[in-house]
Amino acid sequence: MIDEIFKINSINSLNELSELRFDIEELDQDFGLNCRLRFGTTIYQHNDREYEVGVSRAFLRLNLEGCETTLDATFGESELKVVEEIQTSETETGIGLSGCGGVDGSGGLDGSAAAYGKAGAKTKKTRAQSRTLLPVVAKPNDSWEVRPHTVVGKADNSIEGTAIPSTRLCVLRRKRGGNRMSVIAEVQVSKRAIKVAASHGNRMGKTLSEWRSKDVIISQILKRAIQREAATANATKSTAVVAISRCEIAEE
Amino acid sequence: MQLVEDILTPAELDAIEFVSSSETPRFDILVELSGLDPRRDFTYSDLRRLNLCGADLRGYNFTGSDLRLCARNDRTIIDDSTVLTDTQTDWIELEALPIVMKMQEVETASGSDRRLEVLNELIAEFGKSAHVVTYMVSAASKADSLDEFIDFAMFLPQTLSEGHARMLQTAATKLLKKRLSRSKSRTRRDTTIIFALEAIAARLQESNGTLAAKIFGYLAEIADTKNQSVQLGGTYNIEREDLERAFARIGQ
Repeated sequence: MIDEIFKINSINSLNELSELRFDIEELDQDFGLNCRLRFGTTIYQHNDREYEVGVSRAFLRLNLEGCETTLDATFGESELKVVEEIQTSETETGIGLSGCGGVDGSGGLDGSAAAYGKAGAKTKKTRAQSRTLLPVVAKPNDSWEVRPHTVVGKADNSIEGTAIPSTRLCVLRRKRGGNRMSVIAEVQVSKRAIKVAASHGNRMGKTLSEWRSKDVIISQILKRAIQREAATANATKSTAVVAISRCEIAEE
Repeated sequence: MQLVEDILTPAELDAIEFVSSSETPRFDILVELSGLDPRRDFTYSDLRRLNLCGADLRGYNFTGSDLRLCARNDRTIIDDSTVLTDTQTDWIELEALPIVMKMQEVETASGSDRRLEVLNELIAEFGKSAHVVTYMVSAASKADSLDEFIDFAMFLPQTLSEGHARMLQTAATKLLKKRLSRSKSRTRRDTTIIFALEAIAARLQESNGTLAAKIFGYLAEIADTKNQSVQLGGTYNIEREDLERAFARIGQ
């Protein structure tokens, strides 16, 4: 049984912010890697003040040992779109006549006439493209970016919802000569992507409000605590990136 | 289940308490109280709309942070030791005025919005020192309208000396009477007073941690004791006596 071959261990230390789970299934000679990734927000309350904590952008990264991803369909493929270019041509022709005449002081007659013709062509080009903005996009080298869009652009608020809904993320194949497969998946967020915001501030106006400095400092304390917790739970060494969820799949 | 509260150390919980109960809105002083490291904890952060007037920012590292719409003045200290690499800045330059001139500006403010703005600046720069509190109590006591009184109450601390509390109690009661009689005179109906009372309660609720919020708290307690549905601003109608009693409790 596949369950006996692979040991799966999910570490979701900040379990209100993200949940990463994996499942592996045997497909002839390959393995299907199924994933569920959810994000949420949490509220920290102090006295009568509330702070919403979440992440605005995350990356799911796989670290593969003894195996590699196949060229099968991968979740979140954002294929480059075909751009249609339409060319239209318009031609324009015109004929004109000009002339002038006069008598000069010597009694001679001077006259000239000219006919001219004009022909031109105008070319118009229009391009049309439609783009689908996926909330989860497959990136190079076994990673995926989670960043929902809104109708007004990329959302800067916290992600709340299911990013990968229990579906196949990719297919793995044992490397030739490899005798033990291991997959380490991490949900990584940059320090900037950890969002802590006062849920309701002073209604007298946010700019320069008395509580703004306090809110920012309390937010920084919460962010620092989250980074520390994530680094401890997931043994992250980088200070710029924090792994908020981790899942290890190892062949027994 | 691990909540954000669970990952905070006792020192961080204390720091949050120190910051939120502090009477100074000065950014650098709050940072010192918080135990955050200015060289490390303010990188890649959203620090927009901070009031940095008078703040000593020497040694701060704001690498990658967003400092747009932050206010500074001549007393803000930024030098070579302040790291602004990849920092987005769009300073609001404010004039550094002596405290007396700032107080005069409060007195001559054209309306509530402007008064709140200048009070914000006054407190951001000079803090809620005994001098500033005495000034605000005196100005609130001389207010021409209840709205003007509430503007000051939105900045006054919750703890006051007996003398100050008495002055404010007397002024608030007098101004409430004036406000309600003006409301009634418009329509000659008692029901108009209900709207006026609700508007007053809504304003009192606006500003956390201040005298205004404390008065709103008294109002909620009074409503509680009436054994009614105590959703202020909801189904419960605030009565004139409730507000009078709440104002009478100032300083308790």
